Amino acid sequence: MARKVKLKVSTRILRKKARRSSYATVKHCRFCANDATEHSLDFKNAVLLRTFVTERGKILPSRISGNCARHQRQLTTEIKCARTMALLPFASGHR
Amino acid sequence: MVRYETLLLTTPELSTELAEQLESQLEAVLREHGGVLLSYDRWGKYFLAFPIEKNDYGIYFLARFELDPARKTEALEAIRLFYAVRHAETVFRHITKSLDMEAPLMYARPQSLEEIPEETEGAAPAASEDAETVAAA
Repeated sequence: MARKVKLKVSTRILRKKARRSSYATVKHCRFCANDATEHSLDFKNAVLLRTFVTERGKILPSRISGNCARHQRQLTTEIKCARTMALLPFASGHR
Repeated sequence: MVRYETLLLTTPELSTELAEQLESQLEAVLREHGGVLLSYDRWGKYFLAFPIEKNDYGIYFLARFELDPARKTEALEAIRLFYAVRHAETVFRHITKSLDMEAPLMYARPQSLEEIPEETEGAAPAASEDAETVAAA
């Protein structure tokens, strides 16, 4: 009877990593693409900002949106400014 | 010179005369502190994301101006007092942000209620409320 050989920990981790990366889509920061998209990141552009918040009004994390750290920080600031000006909701259920 | 912009949210019952007064008085405040008003745009009436002082609607204005770097602190404080004290009853919210001098003056804003065509029976559905409008300053 063939006995299942237990692999070394390092080998198992490597195989797990390879399996995960094989079907994971690579995310890119859309604001790093060109200058036009970077300039569109503004608190007045509520239509764009709405794509980065959930239905409850919470800001999407960068691991989901794919933004780089620099633009995620900038986006957070702009969303908070838009909320102050009542262009975006703080949370759902205001009405 | 350094460039700034101020977004204003005012009461929906703002009369035309008062809107003109807001513009002319801001220009006077800027002139007093060595600034120049570049543009003053009326965005129109909007349905607010949440009610402010029991108002579901509001009118937005965007003012862009340039200030002398040596006098910018006093000018910005004067602008803040102008909206927060002199026009506290008409101006709900205001925000002032600095602009990059090299950045383009074009900006995108959500479509106002005045720009959305009214829906008629049997006609094609009107443009989405979230449609983006690009304005040149």
